[in-house]
Amino acid sequence: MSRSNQEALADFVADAPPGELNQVVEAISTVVDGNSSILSKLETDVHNKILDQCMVVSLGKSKSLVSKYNQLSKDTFYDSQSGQKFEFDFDTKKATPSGSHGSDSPIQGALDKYFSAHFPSEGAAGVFPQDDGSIALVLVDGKYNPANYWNGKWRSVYIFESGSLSGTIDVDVHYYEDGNVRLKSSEKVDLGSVSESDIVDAISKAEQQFQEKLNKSFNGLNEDSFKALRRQLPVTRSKINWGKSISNYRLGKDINVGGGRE
Amino acid sequence: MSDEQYDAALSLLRRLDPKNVSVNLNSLCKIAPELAEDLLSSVDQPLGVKTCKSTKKEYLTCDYNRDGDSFRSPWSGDYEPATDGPTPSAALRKLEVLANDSFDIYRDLYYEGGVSSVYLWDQGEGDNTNSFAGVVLLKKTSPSSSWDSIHVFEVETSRGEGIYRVTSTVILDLGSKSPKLGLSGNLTRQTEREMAVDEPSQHIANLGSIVEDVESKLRNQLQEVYFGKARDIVGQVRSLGGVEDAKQKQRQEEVIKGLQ
Repeated sequence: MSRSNQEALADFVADAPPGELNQVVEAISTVVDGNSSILSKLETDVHNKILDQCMVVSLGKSKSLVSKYNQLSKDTFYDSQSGQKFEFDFDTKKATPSGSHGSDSPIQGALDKYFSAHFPSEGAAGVFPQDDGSIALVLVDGKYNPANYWNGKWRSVYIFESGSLSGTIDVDVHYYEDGNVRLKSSEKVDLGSVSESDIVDAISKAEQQFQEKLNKSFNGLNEDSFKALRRQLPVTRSKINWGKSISNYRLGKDINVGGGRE
Repeated sequence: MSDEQYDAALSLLRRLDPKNVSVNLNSLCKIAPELAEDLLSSVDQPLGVKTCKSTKKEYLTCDYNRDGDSFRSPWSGDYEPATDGPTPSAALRKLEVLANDSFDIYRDLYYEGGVSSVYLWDQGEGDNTNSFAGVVLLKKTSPSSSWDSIHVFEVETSRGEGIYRVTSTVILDLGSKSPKLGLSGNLTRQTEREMAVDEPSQHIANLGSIVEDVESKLRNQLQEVYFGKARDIVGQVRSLGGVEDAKQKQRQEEVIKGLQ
C-alpha cells in the first residue's frame, strides 16, 4: 500500500533533526506552494513532534520542557523544578508563566543534581506524576550550532510504575556542512524494581553504561566496518600507476596466484 | 515549478535522515511531480546493482545509465532490456571500455570487492573525445554497512591540456545493534584540475588519479565527521566524565596552551 502525500509530509516533520523543525516546516510549505489545506492538516503533526521530542523552552531565566507528560491542557504545561505553570504557543514556540503549580516530588532534587553534573548544554529535567499513578521522568539536553552546521540532542524518558523503572534513551545528531550526516542511537532500558529514593541513581548508572557502550560502538564501526569498505592505500602501500601499464596490476596478481599454486 | 520550490526540496533532503533519501526523494517526486526530473538527476542516492546479461558481470545503476525502465551495462554497452536510448559514439565507447577496465582494477586494489561502473556521454557535436562527460561509480556493501561513490565529471581539452571538473559524493552508511546506532550520510566535494593530454586514453589515466586522490580526501573527511565530530557532539549533550571534570580538563588545556 502506498503512502499518501499527506502521510509522507507527516514523516518529514517527524524526522526533522534537532533544532531544525522550523526550517523543515518552512521548506515543506514552499514545496507545496503554500497549499493551505495540506498545511493546516500538518499542524497536528507539528504539535505531536514538539510533544514527542520534549521541546526545551525558556521559562524566565531557566529552561523547561513541553511534553505530553507535563501537559495540563492543550496549551498549558508546568515546570516541576520551579513549580510554575506556563502557557505554550505552538506557533511562536514561546512559553509565558501563568501562575504556580504545586509539585514537590522528593525525586526532583536528586534529578537536578544528576542533571547539572552530566548535561552541560541547553536542557531541563522534570519529574511528572501521571494520572494513572505512575511517575514520568524526562531528561533533555540539546546543543544547537547552526553557524557551524551541526545540532545534537539527548532525550531520555523513564516511567516508574508499580515499583519498577523502565525507559528509552535517544540520541540524535545532525552534521550538514558539505553534506548531510545523521547519527541516531536509541536504547530501551529496563531497570527492574527500584525503590523511589534510588530512581535517580539507577538512571545515572544506566545512562553512564549506555554512553560507554555507544563509545565502544563508535570505535568498532571505525576499526572494523569503515576500514573493511575502502582501504586507505592498496596493499602495495603506494598509489596506482595509472595509464597504459595499469593492466600490469592484473598480470601481477595472476602471476602471484599462479606462483602460490606451485 | 519555481526555483524556490526546487531549492526548498533540496533543502529538505539535506535536513532529513539521509538513510531514507530514496524514500524521501520518491515522496517529493509524488508531492511535486513538476520537480521530479530535476530532483532525480541531481540528488545522489545509493546505487543499484544489476547483472549484465551477456558478460554475467555486475554493474551499477543510476539516473545516468537509465532509459525508462532499462539500464545500460558498461561491460556490453547495451541497454537491458534493449531500447534505443542514448549511447556514446564509437570513439567515446572505446574510452568507456578502457575506463571500465581501469576502474575495475582500482576497485580491486582499494575495495577488495564491490562493483564499479563508468558511463561516458558525448558533449557537443560529432565523434569527439576532446570534450565529453561521464560518471565513475563504486559500491561496496557488507552486512551492516555500505559505501557508494559517485563522481560526475566534465572534460574539455584545449592546447594539450585537459580540464577536469569533478563533483564527488560518497554515501556512507554504518550501523550496529547494541546499542542501536546508525551513522549514515554523505559528503560532497568539488574538484577542478588541468593536466597534460597527449592522446585520448590519457584522459582516463588523468581521471583515475583525480578520483583516487579525491576518494582519499573524502575518506579522511568522512572518518573525521563520523568518528570525530559526531562523537564530540554526543559528548556535548551528555558529558560522560561529568560537567566539572570536562571544565577542569578545558582549563588545563588552556593553561598548557598559555605555556606553549
